[in-house]
Amino acid sequence: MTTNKARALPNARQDDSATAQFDAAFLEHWQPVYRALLRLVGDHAEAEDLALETFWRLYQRPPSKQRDREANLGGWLYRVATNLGLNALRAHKRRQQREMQAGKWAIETSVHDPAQAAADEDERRCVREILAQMDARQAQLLILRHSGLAYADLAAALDVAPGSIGTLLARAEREFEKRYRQKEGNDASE
Amino acid sequence: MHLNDGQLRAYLDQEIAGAERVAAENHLAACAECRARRDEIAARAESIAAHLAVLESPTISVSPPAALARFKNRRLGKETPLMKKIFSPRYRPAWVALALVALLAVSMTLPPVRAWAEGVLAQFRVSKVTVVSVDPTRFQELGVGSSLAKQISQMLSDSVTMTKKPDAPRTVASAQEASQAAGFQVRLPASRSDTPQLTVQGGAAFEMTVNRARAQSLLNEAGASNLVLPASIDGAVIKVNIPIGVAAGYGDCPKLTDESSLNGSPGRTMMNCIIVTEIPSPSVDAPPTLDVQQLAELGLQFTGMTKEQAHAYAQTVDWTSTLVVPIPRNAAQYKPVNVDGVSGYLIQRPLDDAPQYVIIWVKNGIIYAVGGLGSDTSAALAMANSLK
Repeated sequence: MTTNKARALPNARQDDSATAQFDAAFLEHWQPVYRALLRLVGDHAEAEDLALETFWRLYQRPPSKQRDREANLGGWLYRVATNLGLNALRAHKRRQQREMQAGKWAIETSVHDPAQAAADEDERRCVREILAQMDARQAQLLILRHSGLAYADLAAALDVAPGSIGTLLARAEREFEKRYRQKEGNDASE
Repeated sequence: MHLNDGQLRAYLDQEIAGAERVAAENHLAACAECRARRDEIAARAESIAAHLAVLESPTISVSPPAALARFKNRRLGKETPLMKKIFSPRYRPAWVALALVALLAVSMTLPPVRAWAEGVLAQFRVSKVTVVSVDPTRFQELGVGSSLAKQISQMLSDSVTMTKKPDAPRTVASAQEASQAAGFQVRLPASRSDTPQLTVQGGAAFEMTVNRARAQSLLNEAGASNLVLPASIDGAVIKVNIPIGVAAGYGDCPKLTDESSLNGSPGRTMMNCIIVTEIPSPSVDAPPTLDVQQLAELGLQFTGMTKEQAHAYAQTVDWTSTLVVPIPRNAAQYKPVNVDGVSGYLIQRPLDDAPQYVIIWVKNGIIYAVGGLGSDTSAALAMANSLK
């Protein structure tokens, strides 16, 4: 077991101050990172797993750029987290299983209107499919903007100039709308 | 000079300020074309916000300190799940048997043994089986691979000492040979004339020393800090002995002694495989200071019952002799069946690609399970009823 432990912690922090720093960063950023992932994957257990994985990456291999380590730690975490979340969405099989579960859950919990619950579930599935298929950076931008990040934070998370966010966002929204219309068309013609 | 889409988008988000904003406003006031584009972009942004809003779920949030505790336990601790330790891959029994043993192990972690409080060193052996429906969300948290399950396994593996390692599964030629190896009279279904694949496997014993503080911290983390473990359990030594069991595979079953064929979930090729497992009741020894009824009620509360429900349910079960199988609501269905002259349960997991079932009962101190794939359980029931 001791060998295991040594292997698991290549960057094991020996000193207390580094540990305290990590703990503080974890406590500060856990909630928004987890929430963004929950939006993305829609499953509490998976969102938690992915959030833990995000912080594990921070622990194991802290960002190489000093700016990311300090001023932009939140942005770095968002980038890693949304990448992990989008990858998870693309893992098709798991997605189907999760959606089935999430769908059942949604239908079971909404006793008042099962038809509405089913329609909502279709909508969720459709939105997640589009996000999974879109260019990853566009999808990240949409999900993070919707998570409430200001342009400066979005720019930090995606590592682009703050002045370009408006343009990128408008483009991503156009792309999302195009894909959504296509899907609607497909569904209607089926 | 017209405003571009990016400027309009930022304008709508109040992300343009000062002189730039004033300039944009002035231009918009004068330019119908830009106003039209602004409205178009605003409408699109609104509709996309509405689409993304459906992704909101009711937040069952994990508090940051609890998450950090999980992170440390899970990532920085060593991970040796108990089941892995006891039933290491080399000794992995058939998936049905494994499921049964897992159920057994789970039921033992919810100490179902009221009589522990009686006698000097009370011993428990099961003579019947019952099921209790548990909250699936709780069960999900405890599911294989979940951080909580890993921590529980971790805690158990730290406090568990194997006193007898399970034997590797081995093939035997006849029921007689199986009976000799396992030390009890093995029964085979008379309804089948084909020769089963017979294996003898397992047989393990371990001791566990309870660390109350650690167990309580896991309960707290699981959001059940209202459940307070009694002080009397701290340091209690619990001895568990799991006898050797026998598995008989009928039809196209995986090779029961071959680890690689048992990995992963059973496929469609095994659709007509039915596995009969028989294992004498495990025995559990615990000191009389352990207030087991109290623990059982805590366990029931943990799996989703109210305090009153747990108390009421605890009264209905003879904990000295009953194997309590927790069944997650929604994930599995169960119904009582009369089988082999006693009452047992048919438990079904209605999975889409491969529904699973297991019929489980206890007779003369032996736990029997007949399990397989598919939704038709008639052949399995016929087999269960024809054991000789």
